[in-house]
Formats: sequence, structure tokens, C-alpha cells
Amino acid sequence: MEKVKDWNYKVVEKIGQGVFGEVYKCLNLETGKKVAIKMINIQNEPEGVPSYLIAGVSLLKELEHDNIVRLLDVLTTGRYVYLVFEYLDLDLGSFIRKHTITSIRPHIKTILSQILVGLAYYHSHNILHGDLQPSNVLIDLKSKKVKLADFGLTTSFGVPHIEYSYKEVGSPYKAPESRIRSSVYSTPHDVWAVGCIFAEMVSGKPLFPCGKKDHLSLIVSLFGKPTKETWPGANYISDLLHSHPQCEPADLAEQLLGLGLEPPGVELLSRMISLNPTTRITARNALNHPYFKDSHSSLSSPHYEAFGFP
Amino acid sequence: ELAGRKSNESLSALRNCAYSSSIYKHLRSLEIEDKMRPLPNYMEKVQNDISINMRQTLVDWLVEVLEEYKLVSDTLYLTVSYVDRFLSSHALSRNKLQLLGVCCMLIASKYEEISPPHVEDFCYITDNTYMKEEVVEMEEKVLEFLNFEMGTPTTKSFLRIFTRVTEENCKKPDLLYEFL
Repeated sequence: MEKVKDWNYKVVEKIGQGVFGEVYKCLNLETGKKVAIKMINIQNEPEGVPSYLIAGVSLLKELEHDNIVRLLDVLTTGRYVYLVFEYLDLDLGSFIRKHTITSIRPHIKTILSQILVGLAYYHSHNILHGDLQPSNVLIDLKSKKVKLADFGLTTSFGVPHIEYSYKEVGSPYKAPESRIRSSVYSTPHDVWAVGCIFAEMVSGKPLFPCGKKDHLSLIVSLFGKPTKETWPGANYISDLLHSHPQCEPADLAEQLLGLGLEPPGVELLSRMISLNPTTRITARNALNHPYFKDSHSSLSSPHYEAFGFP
Repeated sequence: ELAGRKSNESLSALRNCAYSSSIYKHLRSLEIEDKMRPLPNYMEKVQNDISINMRQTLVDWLVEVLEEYKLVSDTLYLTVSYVDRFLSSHALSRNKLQLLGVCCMLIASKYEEISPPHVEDFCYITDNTYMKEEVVEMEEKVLEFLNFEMGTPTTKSFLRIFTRVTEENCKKPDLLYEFL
């Protein structure tokens, strides 16, 4: 690593391993700031710098927002590309696992609104996130900021459809329309994922856990089988749903109210996880939802100070 | 031809009218950023071996390469923008100009095309004047110099938004693009 020109980082520890490379926590020796460096090996790339990197890094470079993890620098040697990202201590996934739902509850609004602000920024820049999930939502305890990250560098990254189709199986945060090959993969997809994250913050567990049952049947068991009314495009997936037994929609609203979510929150969530992508609320409109009416004041309230938890 | 757009239009966010005006604003602000623009007088100021005519010959040749490999016109606009941005601060000898041209087109294809041509294709089209290693090395140089900021908005990115907004039902947008 040290062979790179202008290299002034010290490796602290390895924090991750992905398909495309390793992620290290490092220290910027000049500023003393912590950074996350993703190291991508390109020495075996027969075509030079791979296109997902060119398209992906270009897009990331365009994103400059408080609620999005910054790509600070890109360094290259003949064999490696190093992406230097801002470093944050905690991700929302571990945050949810480490705390009880009652202690998370007071922070849901501020976390959710910051996720939506970041996402609206993505969308207004013609970019889809594509891989929103709690582990990609980072929390900075000091500044009390929530930032969207994307170290995956996979689909999310460039967004082209072809790469996307490789990842058919995958995240339980994917919207139902992603199961339809011919469907339009667009901004509502990200909003669905935010809805799942919202529900997870309220209940402390994933809305659609991965594992035993397949993703689509979990969705069906929650919403009932899509009808012409709930999702006019649903005939596309009728083949997929063929084997599913007819079932009554579960009463998610009641469960969530029982868990202490206010009625406007339930209403907002139901619009974020609307089966029909065309009627799903946009990130920007979600921010104007009555649920957030009093949240702006809470950003500076002493209540919010407890964000770090003892 | 329209099927070839990768980053710009397959991002169906554009289709989502809710955001099209802010997308337009963003593209516009990108377009006027200094780092996205070449120097208007780099031939006199920076270059000492290359002339305006040589650049013209290069661009004409790049158009032929584009047709040969059936690339979309966005790729050409991006290529020329990269070439000019690079030449705005690097004095290049004339025997490397064509190398810069193919490298920029290689990068633009990777950014824009669904299936970009191979490095070998670009060597072949120069009559193997340059080796694969040279192309790959130059590619890295260009990427590093342009800081991986390859998303320069092109005339076509704007035209796309305009045609969509004004003529939702326009059946012949392809024809409009031909006039570019």
C-alpha cells in the first residue's frame, strides 16, 4: 500500500472483505482523521480498469452531501485502486442489534429523516443507491449524523441493469418488483428498502428475514396475494406466485402500533412499502409527511443528546 | 441506438418526472464546473508539438472508430471532452496523440456502453501502432489525471431531458438526436 504516490495513511485494522477487495480502517497521517480504504485488486483485469469502477467512482464523486459517506480520494497504482472513504464508527445494523427497541424508539425519526434526505439527494442526482440496508447506513456518534454508505461497489454502484441481474438472490431489502425481470428498476426500489429499515428500527428485527422462506412468499404472506387493485402490474409475477396459497394480509399496522409507533408513522410506512412501485411515496415526499412534523425540533433537543447511549 | 445508453438513461430516475428538474439543475451545474471544461486556448498555451489540424484529424478518425464499433454518440462526446481536458494540462508529442484518443474512447466506452469494445480492439484499429500495455498504462494516467470524474454531461444528456419534458409522446426522439 505504501508504494502509492502521495500515500499518507497508516493502516489500523482490516474491517471488511468483499467480492471486489478488502476494506481497511486507516489513519490519515496529515489530518489525524480516520478513513476507510477499500483496496481493489485490478492486476488480473485483462481490460485495464474495470468499467464498474470507472462508472461507479464517477458517480460517487458527484455525491457531496452531509448524509452520504464521502469518497475522499481515489489512488491508483498499476495493480490496485484505493478508494478512500470517510470513516464512521457504527452501522445501523449493529446499532439495532445492540439496543432494545424502547431505547431505539426516540431516535427513529431523526435516523429515518436523515436516511431520506440522503436518498432524495441520490435520486435528484440521477443515481440509485440500489443496496440500502442497515449495514449500509452509518452513524457518527459524535456529530449525530447518519450517512448512507455504499462499499459494496456492486449493483448499487453503477446501476446498469446487466450487473443488477447477477444479484437476483440477495438482500431481503429488495423490493418485490425486483423479482420481475422486465420491470423498471428505479427510485421506488430504494424507498422500499428504507421502509424495511424503518420497520426494523421499530420492531428490532428484519421485516423480511432472510433464510427459511423465499423473499417473495414472505412478502405475499404479509400483504396477501397482489390483486389488480393493490398492484396493477402484478400479472407479471402471477407465474411466480402461481404456487403460493391464497392468504389474508397480516395486520402489520396493529403490530407496529403495539410496538409504540405513532399512527402517522404507520401511515408513512405503509406508503413506503406499497406493493405497487408507481404508487410508492418518493423520498422527497416522505420527508414532508406529517410523521416528521415535530422531528426538526428534536434534532437539537436534549433528548437527542442521548444518541450515543450509555 | 437508444438501447446503448448505460448510465444516463437506463437510470430510469429520469423517467421519474418528480426529479427531472433537479436532475437538470445538477447536470447544468456539473457542466459549468471548471474541472469539467478544457482550456479554450490550450493549443497555444500548453501544446508545443500538436496543432489544431491534428486534433481535427484525430476527432474525424474517432468518429470512424465509433461507427466501426457501433458505439453510441454519447461515447464520442465524452471521448472528445476527455481528450481536451487532458490536453489542457499535458503537453503531448504528436506520436502519442492517437494513443490518447483511443484511451479516452476506451474509458468513455466503459463509462457509457453496455458492452464496451476490448482493449485489443482499440489496438487493432490503430494498426497495432500501440501495444496493449501502452493503452492500459495511458488509461490509468488519464483516469488519475481526470480524478475518475468521467460523468461530463453531454449535449445529448440535456436533449434527452428536454424531449422528455416537452414531447412526452414524441415517437421519433431518435430523429432529433440525429441532428446533433
